Amino acid sequence: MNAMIVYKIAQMEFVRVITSPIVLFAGIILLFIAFLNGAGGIDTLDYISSTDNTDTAVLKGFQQIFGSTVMLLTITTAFVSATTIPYERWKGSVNVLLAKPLYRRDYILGKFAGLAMFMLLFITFIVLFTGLAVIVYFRGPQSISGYAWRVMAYITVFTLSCWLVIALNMLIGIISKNILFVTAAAMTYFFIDSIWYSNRFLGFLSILTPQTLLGKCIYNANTSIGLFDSLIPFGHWLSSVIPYVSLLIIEMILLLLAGIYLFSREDSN
Amino acid sequence: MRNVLLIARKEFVDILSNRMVLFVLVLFTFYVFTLVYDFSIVVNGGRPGAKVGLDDNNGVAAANYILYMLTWCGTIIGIIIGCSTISTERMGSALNTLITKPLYRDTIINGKIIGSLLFFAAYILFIMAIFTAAFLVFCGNALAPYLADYFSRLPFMFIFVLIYIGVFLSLSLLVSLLVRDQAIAMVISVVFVYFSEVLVGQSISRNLSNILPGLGLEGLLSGLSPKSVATQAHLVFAHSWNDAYSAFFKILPGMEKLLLFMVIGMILSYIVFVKRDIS
Repeated sequence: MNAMIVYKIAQMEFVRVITSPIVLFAGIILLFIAFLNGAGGIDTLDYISSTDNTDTAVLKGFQQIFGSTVMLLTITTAFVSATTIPYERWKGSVNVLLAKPLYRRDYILGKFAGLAMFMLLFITFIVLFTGLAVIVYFRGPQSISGYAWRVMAYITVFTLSCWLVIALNMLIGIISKNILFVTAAAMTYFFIDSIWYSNRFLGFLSILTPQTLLGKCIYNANTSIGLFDSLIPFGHWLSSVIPYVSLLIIEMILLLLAGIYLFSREDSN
Repeated sequence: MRNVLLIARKEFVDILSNRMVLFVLVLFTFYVFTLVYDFSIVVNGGRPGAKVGLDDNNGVAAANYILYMLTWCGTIIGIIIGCSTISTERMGSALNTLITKPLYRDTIINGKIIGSLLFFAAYILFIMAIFTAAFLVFCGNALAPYLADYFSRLPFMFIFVLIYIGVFLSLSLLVSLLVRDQAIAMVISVVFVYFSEVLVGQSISRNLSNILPGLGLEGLLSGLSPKSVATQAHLVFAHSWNDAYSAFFKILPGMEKLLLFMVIGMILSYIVFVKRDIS
């Protein structure tokens, strides 16, 4: 693997995504939702605060818009990653790139790295803005370190689940050369994982979907351990989510390897 | 009129011969069988304590399974067809050829809308037929006493689902006419679904109402969501004390709202298609 080439492709991909109108559109909506959550959602936080004099109320500020944030970020991630390779095929730029002394795996890794870095920064920005809106309109946390750990953990698991979405949708984009099919498949994925109950389709296999794994990390109904419950020690939460985080990482690597394998074998035309 | 019917027929055949649509239809047919199999396990007592509906009327519960499935899956079909009907012709430059023919532009869009709606009608009937056949095969005995309730609801559900899918069809058609990039058009259409979902289930409308109190924003925004109308329809149809007619009349105001959304979307599509350079 040529790290320099991967870095260059990642840089190009990062610039492409950050200037994409889809991302701008999603970013504006997410910031608006985060602002509404801070300015309009404090009545619920006040109620939690009156019954529970801990930092749980401040942390619940994230949980209040967890569903709507995850859904929109999944839409953005799925479409941006599914269309990245089909667009380059359509424009013919992939053929120019592949004519260079470049391994196909470096191309896929670079694309993935660019998208992954972008999602990390995007999610960090959105989560920090959400936290800021809650602090401005409600109150700050009593334990800064506990709050910081949990916010960092939230960003980490959220980003990992988005990375899995990237790997999955990039694979769809590698399998099909038809942009219409790829966008429709990305949309179908979004519906199954975010809007419909994936367990209705997939049964016990639904545990493998990014949203289910993220949901398990944020709040596990079987063990009643949640990231946003300040009464549960952070270490206790961390040890309970290790299996799910491991599964996220393993799935991501497998899908990425499958994408590299398929892309390396296909005819460049 | 003849030209409209010709374009409608071509649109119907195009959609039906689209491999992606066929793939989705096969997927949904498979899903129908899994749903009905699950239903049969519950009604045959395979899962003690579980119920298929709100009460003991299996016919009402079975019909509601169809309504759930068609409103959920219909949304995705509506968006795919709404976006692809213009995008595929634009990508293949067939739209330019069509526009240069001695045809009014409104003839083209009328034909496309009629063809798409006819396809949806055929799709709904197909799924209903598959459901009915599967119900009768898997759990005919449990369903037999309630067949009148089951069949009496289907025509009203057909009308409701057709209008519901039509809303997403008209919105995605409008977006694909406005936005040249097909992926962005599809994202925007999906964002409509997102808003439809979050305005009901999440706290966005309540938060907005808290910021601007006294304007009734929570009810207004939730009411604008097609999902809220569908949720209300699911509830009304789920109760066996509502016979098919009374259930239909109870959801009629919501259906009128959906129809209005669909008509507004289509009128805007007309305006964009006739006035704008869409090539």
